[in-house]
Amino acid sequence: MDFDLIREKLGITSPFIERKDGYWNHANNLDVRQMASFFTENGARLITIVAQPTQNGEFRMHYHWDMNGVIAHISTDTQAGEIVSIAEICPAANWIEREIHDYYAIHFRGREDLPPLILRSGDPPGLFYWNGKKTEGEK
Amino acid sequence: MSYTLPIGPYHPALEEPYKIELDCEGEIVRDARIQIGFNFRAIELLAEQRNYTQNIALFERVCGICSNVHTLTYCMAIEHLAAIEVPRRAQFIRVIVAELERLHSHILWAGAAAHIMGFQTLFMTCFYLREKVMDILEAVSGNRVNYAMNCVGGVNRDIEDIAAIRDMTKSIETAVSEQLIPIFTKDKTVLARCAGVGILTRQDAIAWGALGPTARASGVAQDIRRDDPYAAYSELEFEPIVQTDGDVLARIVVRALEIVESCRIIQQALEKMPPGTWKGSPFVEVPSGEAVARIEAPRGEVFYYIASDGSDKPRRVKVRTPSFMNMPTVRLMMKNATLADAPLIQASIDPCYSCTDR
Repeated sequence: MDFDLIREKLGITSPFIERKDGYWNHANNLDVRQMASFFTENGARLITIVAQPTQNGEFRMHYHWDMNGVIAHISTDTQAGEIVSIAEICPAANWIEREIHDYYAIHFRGREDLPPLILRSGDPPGLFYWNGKKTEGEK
Repeated sequence: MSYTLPIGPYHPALEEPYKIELDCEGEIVRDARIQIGFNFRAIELLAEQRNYTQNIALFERVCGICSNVHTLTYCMAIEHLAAIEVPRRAQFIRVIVAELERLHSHILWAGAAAHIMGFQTLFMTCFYLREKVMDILEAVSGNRVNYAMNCVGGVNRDIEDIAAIRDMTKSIETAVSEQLIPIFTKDKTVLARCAGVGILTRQDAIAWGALGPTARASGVAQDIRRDDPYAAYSELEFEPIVQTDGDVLARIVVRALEIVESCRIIQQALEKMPPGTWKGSPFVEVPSGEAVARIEAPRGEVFYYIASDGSDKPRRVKVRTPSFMNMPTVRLMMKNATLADAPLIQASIDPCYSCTDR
């Protein structure tokens, strides 16, 4: 996989950093739907999405893609606790996004429904984020 | 007549907490809704409150069947982050224990599938064979479930009785080749229950991110041991087992042939295992940063992400298990299946609810 081509297609300015565990990059204002379309059209597999709280109350979203044994890790940050859903483009993200919503109350724009996966119906989302006192209702 | 049939939250056949609601028309399943979370323990959150060494014991308890793969993946992620080299003998020991775990997991699943089919003699045969593997795992590690073999930078115990492991794998290889595979591929009862049932197409397997034997039975030739080798796999010869029918039978055949392949991998590893140190470090300093690791567990790829702020506790650990990715595909397999096939279709992905919920 040509990582310069990936940068060009996704509009990422910084170069990928090669490590033993794959190629890493971070992009502000990343178009995650464009990223999902590019990777799925090129036969990549979504390994998972990892959400991680940041100091400013947002979340760093790490998208891990497998390309025939090589992993591309691309991260971007949520804005006001929201990010665009990729589940419509990449069905593998369906349960992943629901789980992230359960844990961190991150809202995935573009999803008509986001029912709880791990939590029970009626439970407030944001189970892992009670240290930050942030729940969906407080946004 | 249309109706919804709820099964669970305690599954009567699989005997694990899990709920599925089947929308049926007569005997035909038109759609299915899966509910998980009954085994949720917030292990990822607990990991942020324990130090790196304590977390090894925590992650060993993600799963009762593939406990070893979780500690192995976790330790590998720390080794990537801290740039720790693992001794070669330890790399071979890691392969041997991982393959022993695959053996007992696959044979256990074969037995469970036979039980669900109502084939009790086959169930007993599988569990008799599995016990041989469990005896070896107990002899190597002192435990039947949580082996505590992995530590950061190596393993906790050496493997000394090479002959016993080699003899066991040869006996399993013979029994599976001469008994299990012929029964699972030619017996009329098995074929009637499994052939053409619960089909997952290659296209759907890729789109939904299916993993391991579930994906390989649908023609997706992915195996992390070959695609992104870890431990000592790059020094061993093996072929990923791939079938193309995508039905329950294909998933059975993949696992049965993988049992034979695992025996051969173990035999090679025993032969090539070099002398030398195997020990790791009981305590480790982890620099700030992030890293991932992944391995091919019995059910498919296990993936760990670790973020560190340089303290003795991880800032974030993400555990992505194969059952979490495989379970949504059950809905696709269920569509237009007969109700009587539903329990076997669910079981055919070898679901682990403990892994899924964490």
